[in-house]
Amino acid sequence: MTHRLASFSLLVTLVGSAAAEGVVGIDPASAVGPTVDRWGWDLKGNLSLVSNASRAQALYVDVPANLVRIPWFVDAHFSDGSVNTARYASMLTSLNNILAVNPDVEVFASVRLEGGDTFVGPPSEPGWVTAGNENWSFDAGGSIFGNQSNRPNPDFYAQLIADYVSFLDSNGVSVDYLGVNNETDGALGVNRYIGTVDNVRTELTDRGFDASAVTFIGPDTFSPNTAVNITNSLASQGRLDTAQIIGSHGYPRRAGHDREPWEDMSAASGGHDLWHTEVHINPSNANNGSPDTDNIARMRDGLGVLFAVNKAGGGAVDAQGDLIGASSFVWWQGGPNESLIDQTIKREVIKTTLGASPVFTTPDFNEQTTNTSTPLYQAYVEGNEVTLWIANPGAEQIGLAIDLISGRAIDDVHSAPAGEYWQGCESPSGPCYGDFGNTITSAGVGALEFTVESDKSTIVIDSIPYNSVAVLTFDLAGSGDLNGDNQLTVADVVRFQQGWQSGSSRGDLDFDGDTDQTDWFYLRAAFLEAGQGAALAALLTPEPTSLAGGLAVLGWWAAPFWARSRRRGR
Amino acid sequence: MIARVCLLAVGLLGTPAPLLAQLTFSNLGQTNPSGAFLSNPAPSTFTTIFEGNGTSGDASDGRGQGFLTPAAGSGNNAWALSGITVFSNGTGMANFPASDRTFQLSVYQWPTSNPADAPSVSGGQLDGTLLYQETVTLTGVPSFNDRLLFDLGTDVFLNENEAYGFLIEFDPASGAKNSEQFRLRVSGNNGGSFNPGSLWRTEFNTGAGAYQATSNFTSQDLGFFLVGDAIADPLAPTLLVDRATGRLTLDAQTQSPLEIISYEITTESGGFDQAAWATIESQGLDADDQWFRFSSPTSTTDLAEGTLGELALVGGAAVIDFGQAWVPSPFEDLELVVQLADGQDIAADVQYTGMPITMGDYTGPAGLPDGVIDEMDWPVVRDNMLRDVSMLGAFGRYQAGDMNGDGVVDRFDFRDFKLAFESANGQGSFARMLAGVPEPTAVAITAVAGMALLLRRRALPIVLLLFCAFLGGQRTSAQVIFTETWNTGNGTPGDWVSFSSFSENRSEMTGQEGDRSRALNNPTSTGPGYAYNNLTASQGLTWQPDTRYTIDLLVGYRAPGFSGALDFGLWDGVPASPGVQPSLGIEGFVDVANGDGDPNPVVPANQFVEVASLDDPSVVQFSFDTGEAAPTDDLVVFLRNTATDPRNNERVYTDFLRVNTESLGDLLSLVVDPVSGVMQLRGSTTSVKTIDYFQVESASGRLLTANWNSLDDQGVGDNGAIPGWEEAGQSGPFALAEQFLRGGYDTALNAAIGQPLGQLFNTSGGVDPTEDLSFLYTLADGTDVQGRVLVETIAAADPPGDYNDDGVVNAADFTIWRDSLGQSVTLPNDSTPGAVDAGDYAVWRVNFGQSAASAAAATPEPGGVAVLAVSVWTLASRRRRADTVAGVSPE
Repeated sequence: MTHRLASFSLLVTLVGSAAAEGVVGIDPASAVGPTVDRWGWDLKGNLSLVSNASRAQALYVDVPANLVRIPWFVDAHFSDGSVNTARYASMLTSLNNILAVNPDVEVFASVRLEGGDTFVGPPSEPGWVTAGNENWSFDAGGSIFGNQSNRPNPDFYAQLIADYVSFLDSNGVSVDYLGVNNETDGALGVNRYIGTVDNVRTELTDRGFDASAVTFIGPDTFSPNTAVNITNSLASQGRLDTAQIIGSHGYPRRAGHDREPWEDMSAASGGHDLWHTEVHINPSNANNGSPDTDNIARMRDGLGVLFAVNKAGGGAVDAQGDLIGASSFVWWQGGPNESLIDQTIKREVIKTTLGASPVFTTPDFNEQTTNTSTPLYQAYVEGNEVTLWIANPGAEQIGLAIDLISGRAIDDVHSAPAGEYWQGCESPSGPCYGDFGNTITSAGVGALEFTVESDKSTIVIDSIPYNSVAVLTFDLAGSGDLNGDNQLTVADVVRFQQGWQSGSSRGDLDFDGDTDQTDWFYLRAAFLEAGQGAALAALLTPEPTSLAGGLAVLGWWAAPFWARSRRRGR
Repeated sequence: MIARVCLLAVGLLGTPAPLLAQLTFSNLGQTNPSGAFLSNPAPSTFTTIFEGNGTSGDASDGRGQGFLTPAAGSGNNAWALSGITVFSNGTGMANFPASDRTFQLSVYQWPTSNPADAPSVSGGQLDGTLLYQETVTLTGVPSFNDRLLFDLGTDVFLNENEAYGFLIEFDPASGAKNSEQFRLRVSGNNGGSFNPGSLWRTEFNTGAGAYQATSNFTSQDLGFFLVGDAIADPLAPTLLVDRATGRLTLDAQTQSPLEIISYEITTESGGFDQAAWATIESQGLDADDQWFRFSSPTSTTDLAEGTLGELALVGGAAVIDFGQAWVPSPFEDLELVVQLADGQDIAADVQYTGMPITMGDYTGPAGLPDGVIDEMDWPVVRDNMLRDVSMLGAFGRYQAGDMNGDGVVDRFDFRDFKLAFESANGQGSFARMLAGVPEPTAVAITAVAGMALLLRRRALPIVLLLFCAFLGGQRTSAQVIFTETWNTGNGTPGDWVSFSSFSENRSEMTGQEGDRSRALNNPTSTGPGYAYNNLTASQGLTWQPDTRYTIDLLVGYRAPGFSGALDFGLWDGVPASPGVQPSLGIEGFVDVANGDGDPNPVVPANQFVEVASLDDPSVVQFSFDTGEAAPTDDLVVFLRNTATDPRNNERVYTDFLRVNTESLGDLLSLVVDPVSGVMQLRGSTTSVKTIDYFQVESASGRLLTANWNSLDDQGVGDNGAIPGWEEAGQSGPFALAEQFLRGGYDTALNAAIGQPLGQLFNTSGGVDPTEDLSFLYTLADGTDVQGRVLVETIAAADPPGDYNDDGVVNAADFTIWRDSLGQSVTLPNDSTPGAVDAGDYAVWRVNFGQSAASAAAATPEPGGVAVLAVSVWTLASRRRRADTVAGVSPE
């Protein structure tokens, strides 16, 4: 059966030589990273990002983001505690718009990076934050990205941060997370970091705040490897309490910004939650000098770092027994522009990954590859819904087979796979769509067409166009554990029979509200997958009444990802 | 006084539709070319799959697409296309030059299924896979409405759920297509030039390098038609159904080996007998795997089984005998879907073997239909007469004698069976057969226990049905006093025009709106639309006493439906003004202000036609009786649209109107003694009526059938061994009936029919029999007539054996008997007419000591004790209560 997401008149033109038929393997039952808990937009790059209600609707309702990253400006705060409120006017407008449509959004604040001038105070008293006192001497030896910087005095810096929190509080905004570093580690240093956090807690307590309600994210560095080093240092001092969440930034196309340091962060922190606090997906543009045809490769690279960090441990668990990898993310720069591929991808990523977990997907990818034509595949699962992200900067792929290593896809009227692609350029020699191949046009976007094989374990995508990013979603049938005891036994068969005989959904595995032959196919497939199958069936006692005394446990097959759960709106 | 009101829609009852495998074309919604998809084509019939309506001028003109979707379980999933017809509804092809009459027909399988994904014509080709292409040259000029059928050289197989495109290009081989327009000329030209009033013109666009259809076409001129035969899926197995035994056999021998994991056999009508179902598990056909029975043990619609392993159907093992799990019946709606291990679901080709089972062939010596309709079948209907079987499925209803499947076993089923029997066995065969039919107690009743109770609970809807379903023609005794047929126009109060001709032509209501008949709107601005005709003023008609007035009206409504009601009926006065009538604010008939001060309505309020429940169009009928004193006001026919839809666009149409009158004295009567409860049937005062059915119903269940001295008991109409009247097998407190089996029974003229029926009515509580009882009889031609219920004192009949007719059975009667013994005379109160013999003595002995008073109250023996009625009639007015009409069933 062939499907389409929407109506588009485009017929894909074959360009050049198509890639040979490939196979992508997905094991929906094998999570390789933690569930994505948070996704946020960043006001640091644009204080007016959410300047009106429609933007708030687009970014925090239509897209279910639940976090916002905001800055404090050192030069907006005076030693007497007063604040240059004009610096925050646009930001407060955005925050109010966000909280108006989604009061549950959490606020993550950190210092606004201003290069070597980051810790320079307001014009009337530019040195008050870095001035020495009885606890901390003046130190001009700091450096921020090669620029000389005086080191902030933790006493004064903490006062500034507390002033900021108080100011926001007076404007109806509560801060949930604080990041005192934000790539300023070359100036702040570990000891002053610890001192600042300690003082902020004291200041907040003195001002009547519940300091324990604020979570500190550290080291929140530019480089993941630096984050590892600082985390180790904090650990060695026994002060991991100052970095309750281990955060770092990470960039595509930059050495060392791959998944390995994140494993080290987890190990060094003893299993603290990991946040990727500044995710970059940089479209091709005049500033970076990339040609138009590089745009989709840049999308691939950005997604690669994101997905790699999320599944940093590849399925390994930390000291807490949790899957290793970042679980919360913040997009750098906004994403409301629906006419651009990169911003559309940002929105779609939030929709499809928030609440979902990365699952085992083959082939794996190199998040820092320099090959601009290498495709990327990564699948996510939430409940019984699977999303496969495909970045295909190279040649068109025809007949790409998606094999389910476990589970079966639902393919019927009420729940059919669907997919969409966004194409940058039609061919290696162009033409490309809009500036730098980042503009969405009717000719460059379309629905994926595919065929679901009758065994419901393979989906063949007719074509992944050249130079495109695509996303495919489909639902998995139920695990077969119809009675919810985390086992596959004949009791589940009995449950199926009851569903059939009562005309109810007791045996419903494709979630269409009834119990029918399709559900039997899924139930049988589940048994076979669990290693039972025909031999098992032959041993079963058929009569339900004779089963009550002792149900043979035929296999454990609890499938936490498969339990039917709510589906986010699209 | 008005006695009875009855509304109905004629034609609501039907017989089970034949169950045929069907194919369905589904319209994908593409509007250009216009999708004119019709459903359910039968082989050898034409079905338009699209019409080339080139209104947009784009390249999609002249092409069409269609999904072929065989109905589930038909066993067919493909369509063998054997021909295509081009249809011309214009003036022919006079302007189509003889040199350019070549065109090319192409059939493509489209690359996508999206209707919006309209492929463009490129190089004379559509996208997709070319399935068939042929160049055809017209040898003549088609005339108006010609259909040009082109037989394809080879069948083209079109699969379900796949889209196909059709393309015709004219003069494909000339190569000189610049500015040349090739067309089928089907409509007029414009100023002498060759103007596209024709459709489906294609030309070669040099700029585009492709054929393109051009624009400016104004009407639909061409259509494609498919002809062909449904074919079975070549992979599908066969389910053989033996009509003689009910045996179900899956045969997959001719298919590739199939590994099945489940199967499901279904029948919507419900005719499975699970006790006879031989499952795969019970037969041990799968040595390796357990098969689980899915179906509910009580299901009669579903036989399903599955395994966690699989069963290979190959070679001899490809035949599975499921046993005689199907109860043979005329309902042939079985479907089988086998599920393969690889996830495919395959519908079997269902084939029935043996002679088709005829409706009415219920059973035979082996307990199954035996190919003949005979005396073994009749008791199924007879013994279930008056049984409510509405809770059963189609099969269950039929098996209980409900021949027409309307949920109740009634006189219509009796008539259907009689018709089926005589059709199979010849005229008069039914009556001859009856002589040998055993009594009900000797015959197994097929319906389930407890149905009598259900009948009681549902008695009133049945009452309505039986009272109101006038299916037959006009009663001969009825007099048409007024007819009128409208053609067009909106109803305006007082402006009706009488037509001399009368036509009950329902087809007049099937056309477009502009062709429909009188319309009544219901604008919110002015209130309900209404119309009336004062027949007193325009026709000189006046009310008559003791008369039944019946109105027939053809009613339709504007698509898609009608949510309200249409008031109609006879009025007793002209509405006060032609405008809005405030007093019409409620549904139903009310007494409008006519200046006579009479507060009583001619017709009870809240009587109206629920148009929403009618087919469009339908004939509705309304009747009521006047009393001894005729109303003195004008006789006005009134119609009002009381649509409730706030959209303000609901329109009701009415066509012919007919008003009949019938003297109440012409009717048969059921006379009820209000004190004793004795009932007596009485003939018409004006003419002999030939009837074959009557029934009495009690709204509150007051029929004491234990006291019933039926015509059957009395031997009325018997002819030797052949019975005349027979009791309905399910007669009870709410309804009793008798059917006359030998043709028709001539009722007495102005006299009693048989003896009194016994003390049938429970008079406790002082219930007025006329409020509670209704009486219906059926003329021999099938016409139902609502008879009268009269309350009169019925003098106690002399008991049987009172041979000297002195009111008491005593020794004097013995003397009479002894003196008459052996003579061929009929003594007074002789329940066994004919020769005086020992039987008459037995009657005397049994009734010795009985008097007339005691006989009236006595419970007659089933063998039939006759009494003679001496009736004194007192006319009494009566009126049926509205709540009984509305179907409220007192418990």
